[in-house]
Amino acid sequence: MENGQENRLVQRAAEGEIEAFRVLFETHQDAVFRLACRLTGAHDLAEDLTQECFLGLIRYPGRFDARRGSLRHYLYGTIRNLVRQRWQASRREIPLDDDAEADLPHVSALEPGVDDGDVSKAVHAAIAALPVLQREALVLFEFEELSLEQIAGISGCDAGTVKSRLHRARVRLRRALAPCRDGMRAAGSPRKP
Amino acid sequence: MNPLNDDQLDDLLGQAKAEQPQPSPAFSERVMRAYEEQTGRRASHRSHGPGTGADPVAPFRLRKLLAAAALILIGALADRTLQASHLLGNPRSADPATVVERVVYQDCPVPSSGPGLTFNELQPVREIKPRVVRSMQDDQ
Repeated sequence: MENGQENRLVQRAAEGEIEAFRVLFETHQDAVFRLACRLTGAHDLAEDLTQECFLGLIRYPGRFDARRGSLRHYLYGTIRNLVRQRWQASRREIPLDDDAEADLPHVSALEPGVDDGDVSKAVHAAIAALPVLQREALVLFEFEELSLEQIAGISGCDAGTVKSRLHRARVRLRRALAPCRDGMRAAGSPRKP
Repeated sequence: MNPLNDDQLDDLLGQAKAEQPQPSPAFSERVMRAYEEQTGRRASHRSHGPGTGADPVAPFRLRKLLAAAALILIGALADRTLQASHLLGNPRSADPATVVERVVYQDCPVPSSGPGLTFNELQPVREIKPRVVRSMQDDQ
């Protein structure tokens, strides 16, 4: 969908046209929810944030500027901000981008013959334990397949910073997920930053 | 334990990526209902003008209007009270410029003049006795 078309849909949805909102919601809800879920690690919270994200779009339609990027990326940025607001509300100090190793997740060694679900849970647990900025860089790059420049636009920093966060996140994950070595299947397609 | 290499990490991330989190089945319905409530509320606010009985903010507007009227009334009363006390406390402090003074030329000998008096026959005034009149009683 073109940016201009999405912009018109946003305006119509803001004026109360339910079908316009339905199109927008059905087009983007999966991606927005997925990102919220991977950033928070909590299914219910991800649903709340996704709803808040879409209702916010309708409440303040003028904030979306189609000339600056796609609606999908705008919604990603909104989710990111909402997640950080929740973090700040629930914790007084957020370890945004620290390199402390004390909080590395404890991923227990998997038994031989474990299924993909267990490996997947271990990976998500390790991702959830990453510092916030490293986590969002990794999720947007590895799971949502955005470019470094696109992530930089969403995160409000430059591409070099995103690359650095991504590198640190991968270093931590390599150590944290070492016990999962036996649960791996044949190597997939690598995506290097 | 030795850390994974890049390929091993990519494999694990690929496995995790294959498992997509999904919202609950009722989630879409919940969001659509929230949207309708939000837009319905805004439309309701737009459609209700001031003064209509169903306007939920009308009582607050009425209270504000009454409070404003009360403030104006209190201000006006206070102003009048202050002015009255000011006049009572200083009864003779009227502006001197407003005192009307008239000069009456009285008891001056006026030469008798006939009906055929011309300008050349007028005599110069010999004596002027001015008297200041401050009120009507003085003038009687």
